[in-house]
Amino acid sequence: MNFPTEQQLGAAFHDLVAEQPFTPDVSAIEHRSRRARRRDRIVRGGIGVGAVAVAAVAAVGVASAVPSGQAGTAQAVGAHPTAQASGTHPASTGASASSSASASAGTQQPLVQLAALIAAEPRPKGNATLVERETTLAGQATVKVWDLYTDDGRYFFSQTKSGLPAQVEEDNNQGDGLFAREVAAATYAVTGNLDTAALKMAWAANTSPPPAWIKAQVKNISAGGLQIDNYVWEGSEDALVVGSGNPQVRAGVLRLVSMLPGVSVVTHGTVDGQPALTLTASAAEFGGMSYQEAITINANTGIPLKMDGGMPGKVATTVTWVVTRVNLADIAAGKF
Amino acid sequence: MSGPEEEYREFVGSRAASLHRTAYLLCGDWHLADDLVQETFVQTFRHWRRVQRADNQNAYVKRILVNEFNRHWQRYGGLPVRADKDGPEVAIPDISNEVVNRADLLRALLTLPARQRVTVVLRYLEGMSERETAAVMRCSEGTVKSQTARALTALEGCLKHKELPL
Repeated sequence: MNFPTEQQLGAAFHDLVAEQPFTPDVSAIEHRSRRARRRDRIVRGGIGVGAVAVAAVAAVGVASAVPSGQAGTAQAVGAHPTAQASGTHPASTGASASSSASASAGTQQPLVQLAALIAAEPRPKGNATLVERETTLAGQATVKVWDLYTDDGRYFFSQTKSGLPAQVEEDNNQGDGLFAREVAAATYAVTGNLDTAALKMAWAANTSPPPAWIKAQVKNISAGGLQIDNYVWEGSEDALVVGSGNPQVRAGVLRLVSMLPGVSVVTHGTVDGQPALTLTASAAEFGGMSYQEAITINANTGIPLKMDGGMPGKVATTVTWVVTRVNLADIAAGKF
Repeated sequence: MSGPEEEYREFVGSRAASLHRTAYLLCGDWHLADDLVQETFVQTFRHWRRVQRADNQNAYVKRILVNEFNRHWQRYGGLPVRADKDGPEVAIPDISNEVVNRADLLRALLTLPARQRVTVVLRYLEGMSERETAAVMRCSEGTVKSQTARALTALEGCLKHKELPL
């Protein structure tokens, strides 16, 4: 190939790309990066790099906490996110609900009402929530890991059940403060102003004060498709996992999710013997992407049962949980 | 703001425009180029310490971009999502006295196999040497030579669209 041709090609390429402005959204990049970093750590229970990529988009996982001292309970096998069944929303079956918190005009009232009922539940015994998390990626082996979330904000992880006591004994806390901030945002949402709560949740991945650009999005949240919608959804998913043993957190999450315009709420009858409700977030919560996540929760308690994520009609990731409220000392002693 | 974060932001500011141009020629769509570059910077942030330690940070981040492009290519099977047979999404003015028809060139570039496209973009937009290009693509210099030659042959028709002024 002769030199003039190469020279001409270089000039033509530069000509093609001239005068196209581009300003990267550094705040959004950093926000996503921190979340992805944390998920790298969380998902590392044996899943490969491809799985991490999926998990960076999909939810980290939603825990099902049981307000009792015994293990057991929910390992859901619910429907595909698109397999929505019709039914009466449990929160609209006559139970009265009241809340002193303000709610935006765009909230889904059934979720707000259910949240009020859940918030009135007593806090379960124990000081931590143990989550047996099982992740299935389409076409790949299922991976089971153990997460332990303490009520004081610590997070312990083990790839095996037998390995968890050592993690606690060594105080190998892998929490970086994010979970605590997300739980705090959810708790605030129970009685606080929902716009403020949404901002707290959306910016929980950061320690710096929320910048003007995301503050400006709060008042338009009902329009959908904003970054803040995505951030609130993701943060709420996290909080539902971490704070699943605390009715206040579950209630706050439902109130926050009720704000999101792209979330549909559908009842399923029962899933694994439990009355089920599915919250499906789609394009409006994922920046217009052809992707959705469906979280199935207990329709009476708000306890999360499972999550399906993937393209509409094609589940790529399913996460289920078996959760127990525990005492940290028992875990350290191997008594669980 | 902490030191590393400041350094990262400076890094993003200094590399964004260049990466964006490269991404556009790889995918043929400014919006997709936005996404590719944003994703590149996300990956850069996640591996920031490794990037800082790299002998050639520019090559390192370009490799991330190429990987993101390849990932997109594999997922969506070749052509960029928005580029169809009618040409790229963004209208490109075809100035009558221009030496090269830019729309034709971009269309021809987008029909090249991914590897050839990456090769010529790195070589002739970025001005990388064969050795640098091979490092970014993680292939031999011989492969760069052969890929370049094939790509140039394919693009030559566009470049010879009109006579080159001497």
